[in-house]
Amino acid sequence: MAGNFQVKSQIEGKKINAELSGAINEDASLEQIPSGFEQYVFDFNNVNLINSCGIRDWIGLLDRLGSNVKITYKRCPQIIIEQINMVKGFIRPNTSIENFYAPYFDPEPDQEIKVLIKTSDIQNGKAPAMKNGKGEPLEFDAIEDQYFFFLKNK
Amino acid sequence: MSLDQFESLLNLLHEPILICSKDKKITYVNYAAATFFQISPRMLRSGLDLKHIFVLPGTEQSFNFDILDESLKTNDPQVSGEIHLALAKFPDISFFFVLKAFTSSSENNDKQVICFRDLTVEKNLYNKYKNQIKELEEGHAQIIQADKLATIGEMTASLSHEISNPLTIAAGNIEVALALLDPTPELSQIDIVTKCVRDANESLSVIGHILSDLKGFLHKSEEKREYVDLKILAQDIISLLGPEIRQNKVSLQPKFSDTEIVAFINPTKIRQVMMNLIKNAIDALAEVQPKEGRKIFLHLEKDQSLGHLFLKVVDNGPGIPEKSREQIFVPFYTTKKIGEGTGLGLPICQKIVTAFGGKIWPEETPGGGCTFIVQFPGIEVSAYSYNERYLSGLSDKQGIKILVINDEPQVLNVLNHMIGRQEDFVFIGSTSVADAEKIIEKFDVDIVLTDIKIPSRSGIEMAKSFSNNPQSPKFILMSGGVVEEEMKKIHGLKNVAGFLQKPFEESILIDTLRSALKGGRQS
Repeated sequence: MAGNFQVKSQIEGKKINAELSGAINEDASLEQIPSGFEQYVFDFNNVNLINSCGIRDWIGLLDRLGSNVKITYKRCPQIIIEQINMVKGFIRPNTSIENFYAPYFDPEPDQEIKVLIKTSDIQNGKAPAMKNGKGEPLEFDAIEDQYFFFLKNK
Repeated sequence: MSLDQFESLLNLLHEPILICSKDKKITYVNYAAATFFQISPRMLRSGLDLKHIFVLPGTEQSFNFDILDESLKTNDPQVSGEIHLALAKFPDISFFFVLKAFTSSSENNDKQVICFRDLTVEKNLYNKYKNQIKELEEGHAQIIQADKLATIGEMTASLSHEISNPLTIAAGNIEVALALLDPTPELSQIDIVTKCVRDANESLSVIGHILSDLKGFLHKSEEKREYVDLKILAQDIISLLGPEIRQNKVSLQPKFSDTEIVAFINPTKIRQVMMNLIKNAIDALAEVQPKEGRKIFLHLEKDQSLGHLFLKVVDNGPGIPEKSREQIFVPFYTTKKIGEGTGLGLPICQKIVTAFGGKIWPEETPGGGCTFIVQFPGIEVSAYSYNERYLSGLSDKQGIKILVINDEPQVLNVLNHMIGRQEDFVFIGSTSVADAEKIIEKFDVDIVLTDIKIPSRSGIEMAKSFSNNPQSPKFILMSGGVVEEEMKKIHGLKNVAGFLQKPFEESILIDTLRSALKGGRQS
């Protein structure tokens, strides 16, 4: 089962960097993320689960933080990107995604790899070309139209 | 609509959907399924079988989709029960689903569609909710037990006094008897020895009663409800509080109405309610010395029209100060000195009473003092709502309502035990024909099981009064005596479906009830 939700916060003036870890579900206490800052950077790198209760609470958190703050998501795992694509309200006009993980496949060792890519690397809805350590190309392991759907809505 | 258009539509749905060939090779997954089951287009191209994706939780054993075979065989949509499965990639993370499967046939190209309804979050929340409710109930039971112990603690002084008196008498008598017996009693002394032993025995029996009452009060409460004569229960409490009452120079008088006051409750819990209310009245009276003396009246009454039962504890003490009235049911609120009250007595009473569908409130006693009124629903309503709720939680079947009329609570309890074991039966007990008649139509009763002879009206007369009613329940009559004459009276009554000669075994009772439901008549 996914671990307990934790937030490690670092404050830089009016900006807060929040490293999230564990499961965003009905037990996750999002109240520990304080309001009142002008800029929020959420690092999802260690989030291992999000369910419908967690999504509801996350949207409630965004409502609480308000529309005047600047929000950045970084290192979003595949589960977060998939939820962003399926649920309205996860991305707001004041929200940007700095980078996220995308699924690639390396045929040589027959291995699925999650590659961290910058949002700006996506051009015309196409996954950026990636290579393995030997310089051989990796195959994008999802349907681009669907996986990068959130960029169209932005 | 082309296949592409159809598949694009499926991509818009939030529910995972898979399409397979007859041999369970996956040919299509919508976006939700690709996300949920981590299936990439590459995996799909490589020829993916259902057994590659789904396993039994915590194992490598593939999940068998029998529902697809059934759908193919019947050519009808099939819905599964709740299933528990995991992904082969992550066998330790499991999901709960309900599946719907159907087969789409076209030109020898059968496609099988599986729709997944995800219940995982709902199931986990349900389990958490159940566990938390259980913890709360356990916590509540502990609070109730703690309150009992606190009450006993407060009573210890008067109880030890009450026990030491008969102990002294018993010890003295035994000493005298021993002296008279040593070395050989004279015949003239035998009568004295006998009296000494009798007195000692009587005193020890008084102590036995006190301890037995205490044990009954301290008995850890179970959730089980039964039919209880509240008058007997009240007498037990009056007896247990005897020492406290005498020590505080209070007169406690029962004022019970002549009618049966039978409730469908848990006797241990209601004992605690009575105990708390009377003890509160004693404590309130300790602060004053009314001209007419310290008095408590314990009323038990029944509202004949609505069937409600009332327990009233009336005192002529100082009453409840206006500022406290709003707060008396708030946990830990107390007007007593520190160490004299936990502030939990009345909140516990309220919680217990409301759990039985009742109400509790205070009123001013005319002429001064306080009256606490506890209202319980009539036993018919109480038993119906309790048993019907229990049935609903176990089964989706419509319950068969069986109304049993008997003026003895013990008989109702025995029959409740026998009939309650049948999962589809809802037992409704009643001690009064008048109350029973009121609820027959209200609850759409299926069977009435009644004694031929019951106070106020016979079971046969009751069956007769319904005999011309097309909605009449079936009547089964019981008797423990000779009934030849009475039996003649039931000839021609179509709504009488059976007769039971007491005593009878459980299997005979159940057979008779089931036979009545089928329309047969047994005797």
